[in-house]
Amino acid sequence: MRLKFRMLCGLLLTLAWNVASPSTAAGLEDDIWLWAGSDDFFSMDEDALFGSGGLLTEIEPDSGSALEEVFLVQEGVDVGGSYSLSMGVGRMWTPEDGGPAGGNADRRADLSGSLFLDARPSREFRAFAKIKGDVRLTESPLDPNIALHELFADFTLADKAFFRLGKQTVNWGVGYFFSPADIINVGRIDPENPEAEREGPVALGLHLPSGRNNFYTYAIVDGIAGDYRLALAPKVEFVFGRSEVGAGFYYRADRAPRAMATLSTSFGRLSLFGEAVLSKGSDKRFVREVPVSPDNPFGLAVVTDQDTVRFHGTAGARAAYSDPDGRFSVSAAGQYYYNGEGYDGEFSKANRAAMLLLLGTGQLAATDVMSTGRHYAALSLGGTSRSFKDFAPAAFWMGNLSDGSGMVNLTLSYNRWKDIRPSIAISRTYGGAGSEFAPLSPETRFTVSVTIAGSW
Amino acid sequence: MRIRAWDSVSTGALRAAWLLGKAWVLAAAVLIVAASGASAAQPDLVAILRAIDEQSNFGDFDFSAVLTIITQDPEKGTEKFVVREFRRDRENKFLLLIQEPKARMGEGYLMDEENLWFYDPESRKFSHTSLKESFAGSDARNEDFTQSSLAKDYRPTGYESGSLGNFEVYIIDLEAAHNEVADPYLRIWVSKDENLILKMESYSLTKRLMRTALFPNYVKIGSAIIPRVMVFVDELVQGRRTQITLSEISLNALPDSVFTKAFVERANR
Repeated sequence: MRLKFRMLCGLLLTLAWNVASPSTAAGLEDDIWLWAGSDDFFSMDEDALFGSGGLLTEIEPDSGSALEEVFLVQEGVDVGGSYSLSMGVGRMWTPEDGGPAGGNADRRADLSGSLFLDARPSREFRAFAKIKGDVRLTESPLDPNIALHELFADFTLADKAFFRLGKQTVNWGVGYFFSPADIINVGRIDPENPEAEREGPVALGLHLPSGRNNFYTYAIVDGIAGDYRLALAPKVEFVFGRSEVGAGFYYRADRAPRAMATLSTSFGRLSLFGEAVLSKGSDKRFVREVPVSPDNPFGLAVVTDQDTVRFHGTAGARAAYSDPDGRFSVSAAGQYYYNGEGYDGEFSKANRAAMLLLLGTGQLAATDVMSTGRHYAALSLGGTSRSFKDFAPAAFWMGNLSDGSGMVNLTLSYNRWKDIRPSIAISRTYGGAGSEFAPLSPETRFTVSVTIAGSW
Repeated sequence: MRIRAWDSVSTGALRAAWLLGKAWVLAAAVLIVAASGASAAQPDLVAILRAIDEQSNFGDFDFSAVLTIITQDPEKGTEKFVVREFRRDRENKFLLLIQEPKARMGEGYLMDEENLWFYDPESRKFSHTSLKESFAGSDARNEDFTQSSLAKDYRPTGYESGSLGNFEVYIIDLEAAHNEVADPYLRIWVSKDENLILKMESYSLTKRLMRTALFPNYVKIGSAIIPRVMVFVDELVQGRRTQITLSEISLNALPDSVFTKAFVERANR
């Protein structure tokens, strides 16, 4: 394993040399340039620029093919993808360790990538496939994980009705860190990486735009071989002034039916969003405290709920601010989430150990012991500064407000290079024993890493 | 010479007042001439702004073009984008879709009246955004791609006559009429003969020069006039600038579906 790690370090240095070298001509030789020579690269002679006349030219409109066709029709199959190699060393410690010296060190190297094929033979048809894979190379390597991420075909009817058939990521909720309204996609939002791709369902989708409004219907196929289930999910989006309002419904015979509404709007540089969801019952299993007995040795009974009307709600904002004199810029996102399937107060903290035992016996599923709090919030901050323009500080906080636990992550990245990003990060979880983010003890982790990433 | 509305007194009136030696006559002359809307030589600044806006409007035609956007940064090198712009001014809609680099193909902005969405093909999500934001990390802003609305967004606060290269220009100072625009203050160099903006300086609230835009080449297509070459110079980072060049300019009618989320989702990768 050490040899493998050293080989990866060598690969990293080689790639760093190639990417950082000043050969990024970007294929500009054929472009029109107002400044052709390198000598006047940073200068500008306005008198010369406006000194030759010929300011205005009358031209005939281009009568060639429709410009939008380039996005809809192409010859052959387009192939592309992305790669990411992240290597780092870290040290993690708890209060019981007495400090970093008493903690544990680790090294890791994560390799991930994607590959897609895109065929667009006509305006009315398109086929797309994308696979994703990742592997963690550590002292105990994990098996590579390669999976089909998307595989769908698009059909268009009279340029008015747009069908998509196959495994697809669906554009559903509007939440940034949390999206209880997104009841369609298989993958959940990772609050620490909220803009990452998510895995979608196998579905037949129909999209009918009507002016500024949109109507969608999805027929979703779910289940395992021999036991497929069908779900229906219609949705509408209406635009009112500067706001877009969405409303949708999800129905599957063996699942709790859900209705949802979304709102997104903007005020200046502030983007606001919110979601509300009502469900009749829940697909999760819950626990309630009971006296310890031979049937309930952990003092918890597992219950299901098919009748209670549950509410989920979230609201948040994203904003960017630039100093009037351009000295710095800051971007921020914050969101609150009311989880109608969470436990009140510190119930889950007091009973987490027993819930994990029930998970071990199979009476609870992994999804039953995730997001157990009633109230959550998350906040991220990032910025750039003219004085330290090559450095990008970022901060992220997420907390379970019900059990008082959470995590804070501070990162400083060096972003001078396009494809290589070194960074240092320190993160800390907090909360009492049994809490969601610090179930055993608060942990502090310091990491130094380098990520090489790109796409083609 | 700087000229403001209150000091636009004709030379003849001044001379007459001086000869008479009567201060009250001078004051009266000042008041009369100022109240009469200034001398004939003073341009109607609002009319100039309106003319700029109107001649950049495609009216009943759809507009589409290929935009080559090249950003030069003294430290980060050169970055090139090829973007397709689709505009329908009569409905206040536009769509910007990145065509190159291929890794970002399908990323774009869709505007429908007061709503501007950014589409991220990575997450397959639309999110509300602002015209004030920069476009794809360049020195251009989203609002640089919309139809001009200077007369609505700004009010003139002063002007002077001058020249820029071979062109006689009005140099007009503008102040934002509301806070929906990216620049609180502008100074524009407008050619006197054709009302074309040759140069534009953007100032912050503290009157610091933030960006200089140059428009050295225009094209007239149909009844509209638009800049074919635009250069944006970042005044805060020395040597950083962005050039935008238009090609394949078309006034062909576009399908209604182009200005929809459905089209954006079909275009992505």
